[in-house]
Amino acid sequence: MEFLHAVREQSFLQVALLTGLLASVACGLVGSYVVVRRITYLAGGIAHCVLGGLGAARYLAVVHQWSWLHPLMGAVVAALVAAVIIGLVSLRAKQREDTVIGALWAIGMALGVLFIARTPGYQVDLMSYLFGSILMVTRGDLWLLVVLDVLVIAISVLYYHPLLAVCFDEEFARLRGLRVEVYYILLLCLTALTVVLLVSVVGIVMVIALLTLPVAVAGHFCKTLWQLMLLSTVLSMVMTTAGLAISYGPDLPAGATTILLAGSVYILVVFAAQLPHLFPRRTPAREQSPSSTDTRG
Amino acid sequence: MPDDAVIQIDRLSFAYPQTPVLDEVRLLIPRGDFVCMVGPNGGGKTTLLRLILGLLTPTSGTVRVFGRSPIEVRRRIGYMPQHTQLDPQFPVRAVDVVQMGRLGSGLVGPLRAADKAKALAALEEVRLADCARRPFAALSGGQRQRVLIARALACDPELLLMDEPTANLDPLVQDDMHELLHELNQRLTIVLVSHDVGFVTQHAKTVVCVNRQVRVHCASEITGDAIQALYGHAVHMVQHDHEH
Repeated sequence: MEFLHAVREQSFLQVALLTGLLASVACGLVGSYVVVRRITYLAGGIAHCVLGGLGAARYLAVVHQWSWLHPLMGAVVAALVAAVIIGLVSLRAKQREDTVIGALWAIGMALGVLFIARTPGYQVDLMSYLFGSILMVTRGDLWLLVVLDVLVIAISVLYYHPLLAVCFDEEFARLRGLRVEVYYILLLCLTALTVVLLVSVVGIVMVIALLTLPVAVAGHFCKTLWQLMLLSTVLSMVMTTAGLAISYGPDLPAGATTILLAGSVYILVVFAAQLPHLFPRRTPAREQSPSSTDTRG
Repeated sequence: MPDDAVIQIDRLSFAYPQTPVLDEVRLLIPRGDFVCMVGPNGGGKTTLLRLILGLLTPTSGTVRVFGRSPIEVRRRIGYMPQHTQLDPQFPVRAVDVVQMGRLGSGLVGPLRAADKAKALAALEEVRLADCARRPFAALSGGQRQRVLIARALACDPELLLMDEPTANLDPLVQDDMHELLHELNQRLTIVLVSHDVGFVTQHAKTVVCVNRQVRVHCASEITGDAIQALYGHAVHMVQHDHEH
């Protein structure tokens, strides 16, 4: 209730709420592709490389007075470069894929840490990039986020059928004349842009959880990929909004609250799905057992 | 004669680094043939299939399909992989899988109605129209194999390549599959890899033994004979191809 009041009064809360809702749409669509194609680890690598871009943009803006350079632009560039490199590594170096991606993951972060250390001024940036600062998103940021969001949604929807085919059976898609490598890199670039959107909401470290948990929950209820996308989007919207609302009163970090909420929902759903196995209905078993007791009796 | 050849393989060799797989293979498969590739595990059957599809490039020698390189004519080939290669948890329905057979390069936006109709017709042909909206994951092994055949048929192929279409099927379902493939062979050239003796004896017109090298046995000269003799011959062939 207090949160609803505050949303009506405080414009920064309205911006935060909108940011969460916007990011949720890209998150539901692209998160579904990431989960069914099983490239969560690649998405993690891309996410951590984003810190390099954020740090570099901040450094250039402060030290070299490139004041037009918004940190989000640095993030977009870093995420796209990371997506292409990680995609090429994944396509070419099948044997050592995880080793190379693990290294890129850390190198991207290390670059970011160095840039931020050499940038005079607030050191809080590092914390807010890593763990999210949805309440610090400005109206100016919001426009950039809208552009990114529209781009991601348009491509995900327009290329739904070829992306579905490539995710389901890459070899068959190749035989139908689809340029599988191009679609794979495209998918990673979509992931990169979605990661940038989500970094504002929950921060680099927790991006992967928000990208995958709503999809993992929705997976229990969906038969097709587009159903999965729709339900994950709705769940993601509910979780980011609820996370913001719950954290507002006691002044908790919104990103961490959102992730804990999503994690709890996931565990509940997994547990509920296991219930029929853990406690099988006893009655049919009893109906069958009399024959054995009869013979014993 | 070359007009009639669907697959023409000449002096083909293929090796993975330090592992020769196929050596000096020659093979000519005419239109309308029903070819069964048999041979021991690791003998190169699947590799040969992938070379015909253009998914692998020969170390030396040539593969021509419809007189062209396999990559050029890919869209005239229908391919059915083993369903065990696919993610069993993937959220798709049977009809979604079959519709993938209608995808062309650069297809953007929603599917055309004609493509949807074609996919449904292919499902009907494998007698699975009533399972169209069921999740692929919820189907039995035999139904999944048939969905993958329907997907290959949705491509409007002239040549159908199949990897173990009857693997892990119970005998009754196997009989259905034999019948279905026999029907399809009326209009398509079929090449399949199989361990299934039933194919070799009942439907295959040509038996190709693959074990580093390739020996072609014309099954037509034995199809008219007594079944006993066929089984004897088939078993003999399998033993025989262990030798080379």
